[in-house]
Amino acid sequence: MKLTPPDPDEVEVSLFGPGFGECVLVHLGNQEWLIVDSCKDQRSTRQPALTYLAEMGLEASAAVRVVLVSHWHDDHVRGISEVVAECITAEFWVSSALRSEELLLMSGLYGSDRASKHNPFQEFYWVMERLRIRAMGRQRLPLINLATESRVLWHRPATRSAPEAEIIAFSPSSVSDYVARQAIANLLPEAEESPHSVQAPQPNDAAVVLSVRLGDITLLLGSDLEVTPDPATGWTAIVGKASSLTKDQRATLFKVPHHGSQNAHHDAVWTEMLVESPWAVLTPFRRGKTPLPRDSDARRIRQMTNRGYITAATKAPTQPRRPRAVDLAVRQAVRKIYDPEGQSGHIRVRGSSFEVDPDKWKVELRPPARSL
Amino acid sequence: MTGSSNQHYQHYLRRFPHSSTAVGSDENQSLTDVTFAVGAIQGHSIGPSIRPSWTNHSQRHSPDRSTSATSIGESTGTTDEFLEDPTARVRSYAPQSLAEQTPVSPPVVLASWDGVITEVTEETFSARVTQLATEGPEEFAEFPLSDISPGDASLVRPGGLFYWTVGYETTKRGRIRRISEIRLRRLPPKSEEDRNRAKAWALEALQLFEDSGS
Repeated sequence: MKLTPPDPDEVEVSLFGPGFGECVLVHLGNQEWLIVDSCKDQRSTRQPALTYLAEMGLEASAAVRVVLVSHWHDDHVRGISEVVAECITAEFWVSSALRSEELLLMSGLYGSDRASKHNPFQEFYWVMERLRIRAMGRQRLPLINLATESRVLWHRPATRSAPEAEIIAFSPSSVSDYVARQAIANLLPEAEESPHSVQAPQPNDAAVVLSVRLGDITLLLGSDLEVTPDPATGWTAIVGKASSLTKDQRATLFKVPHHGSQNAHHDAVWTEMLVESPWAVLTPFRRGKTPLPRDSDARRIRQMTNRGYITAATKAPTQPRRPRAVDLAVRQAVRKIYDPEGQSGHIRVRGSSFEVDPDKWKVELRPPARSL
Repeated sequence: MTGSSNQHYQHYLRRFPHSSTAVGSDENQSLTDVTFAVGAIQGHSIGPSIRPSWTNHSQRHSPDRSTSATSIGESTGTTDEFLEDPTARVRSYAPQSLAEQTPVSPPVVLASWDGVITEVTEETFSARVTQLATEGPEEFAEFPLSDISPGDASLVRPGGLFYWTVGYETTKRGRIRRISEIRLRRLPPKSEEDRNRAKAWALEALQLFEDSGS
């Protein structure tokens, strides 16, 4: 992979993961960038999007215009405080459901707690701390913007060197936002009763789906949004409004939601919102009993497009090395143990911002990224 | 041995007849004798540090439900031979007295992890574990529930925190035992002062958000 920046009028989507989580980096033209979510490479312990920008000779502090946290799951926020700390000129956006007094209270209670490395509120706490420090002496507040359905997050008129660019949120709907806030609020009494057992907020329904337009092309970044029974939430709420999209507004590239899981698949997304055989990129989820995507998920996506790519295999990488004595003791004590994240792969898709035909775009992979 | 712990242990033996527990290879061995092997290292309080309970000899017989330790292998060779010997899981030996099994030297910790439970099934619990004192990767591990004492059952749930330590100890007769300990953690409840401080912090943080209009 050649580490040169894209041309000012060229679109680029880079997807990193799993490391711990996933991270999307989008070139908005004119050397202006968008970062959606964050992950950390388990081998280098670095944030791969920041590393990649530095490898291309770009200063994240100047180049990144927008940072968005699509939802607060630990596989989407690991390292986000580092991103916020470095991207000092970027606008910071979060799902509207995260403006929760209960979440802030829990972060205040537990976020700075160093009793465990697995503190789910730590990243949120440190993001707040960094922004709080940045806000000192400033008149202009707020620093945290709320992404909701149909809201324009960022817009740049066309310049001499780059076309017009726009970022629009397709979710969460007002109903999703309400339901998610309720779910977060319900965590608080439980945390008070059982402070040894603090869990991160769970709802996926309030995840932010983004549409990025640059020149003539559109990108659809699906976050972890799932299909829900309620037509006012999840993908059903989005596709209900997508029928008005004209053919030239359909997306050339799709960040497949929720690691390709069946419960995040909606036929109408592929038929109404995407061009034929679009670029489809995703990250695997290798923790838990059911790694994603399943074989059936991969087959389903391959039926939709022949341009499917994943940042790493669904199967977990080899176990990290440890001294033999420790290894033997470990193996005898557990049923199984593995590093589910490993090294982050990198999928990079580039093309002209005036070329809707996916055939004219180019994909490059940095291992362990591969064809789906 | 109480009825319930006897039952628990018999259940364990049935499930893991060749398990790493420090028992003789003769499955007809008296359960009372076997209990010494397990009970001698089970349930020692260890204070706020990550020091495993089996290093605290002065509290050897004090009950602490938050600790579950299992001896997972035994040998009479040298320590190095034992640690490098993958077959040194279970060695046959005659039933012993407690005195004979009591370690004569402080147990040696090989490695410790900080863990959080992610999923609990009928037989196992899964957790994310990160080795302490290193910058190693976060790993995913699956432990048998039988390693947890029944009194700790309520602590085994998603989000529950624990320390996991592996090491070995030498008995009076020169036998070396591998040991694995899971210590479920009860974090102290937050004080009123902590809560007030958190509320002030949350109110200040809220000012950083734009108004959602709700």
